[in-house]
Amino acid sequence: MKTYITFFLLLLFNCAIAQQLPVLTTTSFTNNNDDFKHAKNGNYAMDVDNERNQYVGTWEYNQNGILFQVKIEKIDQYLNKVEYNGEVISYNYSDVVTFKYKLIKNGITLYNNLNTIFADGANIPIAYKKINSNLYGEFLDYSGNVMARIEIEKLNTNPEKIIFNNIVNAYYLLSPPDSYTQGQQLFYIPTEPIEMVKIN
Amino acid sequence: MKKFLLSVLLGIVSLLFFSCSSDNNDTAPDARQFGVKPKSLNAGDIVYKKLNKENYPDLFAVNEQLALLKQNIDPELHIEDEVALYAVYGGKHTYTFNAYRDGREINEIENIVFESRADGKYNEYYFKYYFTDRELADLGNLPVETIKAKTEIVPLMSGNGGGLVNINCFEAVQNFVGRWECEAGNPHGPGHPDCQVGGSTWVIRETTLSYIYVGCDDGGGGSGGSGSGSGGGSGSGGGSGTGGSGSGSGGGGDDGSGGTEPDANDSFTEGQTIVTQPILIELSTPQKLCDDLKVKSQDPTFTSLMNGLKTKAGTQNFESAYTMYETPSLGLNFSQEFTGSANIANGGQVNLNTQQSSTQTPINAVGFIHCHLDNGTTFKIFSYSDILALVKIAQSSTRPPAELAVYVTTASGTFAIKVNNKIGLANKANLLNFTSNANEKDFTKYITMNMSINDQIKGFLHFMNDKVGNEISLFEQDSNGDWKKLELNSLGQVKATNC
Repeated sequence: MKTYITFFLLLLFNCAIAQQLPVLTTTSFTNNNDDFKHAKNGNYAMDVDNERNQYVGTWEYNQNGILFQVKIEKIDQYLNKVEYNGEVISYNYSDVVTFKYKLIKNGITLYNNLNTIFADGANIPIAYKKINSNLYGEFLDYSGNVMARIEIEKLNTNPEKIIFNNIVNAYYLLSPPDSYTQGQQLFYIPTEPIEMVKIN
Repeated sequence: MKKFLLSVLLGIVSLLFFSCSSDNNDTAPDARQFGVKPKSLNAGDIVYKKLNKENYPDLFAVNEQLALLKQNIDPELHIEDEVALYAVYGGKHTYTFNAYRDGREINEIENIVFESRADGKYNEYYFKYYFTDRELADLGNLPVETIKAKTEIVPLMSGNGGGLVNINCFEAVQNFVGRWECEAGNPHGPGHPDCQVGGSTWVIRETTLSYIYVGCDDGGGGSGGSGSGSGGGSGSGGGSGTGGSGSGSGGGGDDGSGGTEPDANDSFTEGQTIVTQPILIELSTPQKLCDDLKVKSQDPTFTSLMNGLKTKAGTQNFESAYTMYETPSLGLNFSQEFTGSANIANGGQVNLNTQQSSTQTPINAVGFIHCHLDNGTTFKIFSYSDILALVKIAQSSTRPPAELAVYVTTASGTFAIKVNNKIGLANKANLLNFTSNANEKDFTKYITMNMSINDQIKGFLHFMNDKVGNEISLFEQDSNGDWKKLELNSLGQVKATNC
């Protein structure tokens, strides 16, 4: 009986270990030689020099009847896994930032998740900062159900400012193309580069 | 308590050892077979491999017999003999060639199987399989009885076809073979540079099927005559007679009423075993891919449209595209122009549409040509959604795989992605589509818009190697109009090979 109990405990222990996806290698966003290795299976791409810090905070654009506030937050060791039929095909970790935003046009609030918490497993927008490069990644336009690709440049100004650039033709759709109607508006967030000032 | 802890530790070690079977041992276990031992199949291993034509062990004999067969077979049936599934078993061997005809149903697989004889020649058989979409997408995992139930076998005898043989006259057995695999099934052994993460594992995979003739004394549906001298006919069986197959002499398509006895014209003897598996080809040799690129580049309409797209890449703020089709009557032809929206809030990307008319359909679509933009708002190379578009074409088109491609052009260059392995790519369709969001996130780590074209090429190749597999190849056209294949060398640098 004792043998069975021991075996059962070991099985549970082994299963618990198996649930974790181990870090197999590490790379640094600071090291150009690591380019093309960051998303390798099992890799953890690290922001060794805390390059993300300069972007963290809430930034605002308020012109021409458009109020656009973006909150940038850090996430360490964000897991991106390719999972199919319950099986993890590949995975990797990276130090990223994520975005929440409030968008008001002509007094009408189109979207606001500034103070919400992302649900577990939600497809959240992420961006990362390589050395000698701007912040680069995705921005989810919830109203258009589209993931924009963006680049954010930090300006050396006082007060602190950034240039938020929606790279308008590099987006990807979050649902099958057939579920979008012809001519449907995809972008509600600004489509031209805008200057944003830090407010928080 | 100490004893208990020791037991726990030992258990952990042993469990980890057996459950994480990463292996770096150079000694491969022998190939094995599992499943029910067919009465006539020797216990010896079945060695199978996919061979390019130049590597056929008996090329002369195969060529000779292929030439003869092509003279007699239905002229609309094209045999793709550049690549074959080659199986060695029980002192003999088979070649399985994919075959196709213009306008065939997407779910039909037609194969020609050569079974070696003692006299150095071959028995020839026409295998036809009818699968549903779902079965086709899961071909590697279908139960053997399902495959058997979807199979027709016609011996192709010189002069007059052997006729459709009642499938119930065969026992079918799935053969299994072990092989090294690493990282999502890549067939690489220990030490391979692509297998550095997690090592390699020896796994057992389904490979071929053995069709063993067991005679027709159990009754069942007789088969209609078909095939005849033209071979590969499509006669449908379903007669009610007992036993064997009718021997048609017509051009195929006759509904027979079945024979009453097993017929000698089947040319089968009891226990005769043919090892094969349904193959929908899928392997396009690099030469075939290059040949197709060259042929299209010499097509005046193709060249004109590509030049136009290159101009649009520099003048438009939205993408343009044309879908390509190949039909026997029209040859290479194109859809009308598709464009993204000029209103950038509505998206400037173009969506692929293959159903255009009765002649321009998903079945004869072979890809599309499109432009990205020079204004820095798109990648200079392909996007992940371009890969998915090629997958969609591979799933629906019945054209030869070497014809399938997606082209993109900008001022930075003209590129093509082409299909090496159609069935392999189609099998990955669900995986690549259902995991697209995670793959798009990774794509962003390989390629950024501000990278040089050379870095975008390198990033794209790394992405394909890591996330898609080797079912697709990348080509670039140089300023002279010549094509070269781009791939990564063992150091992860881009290597270009002229077509």
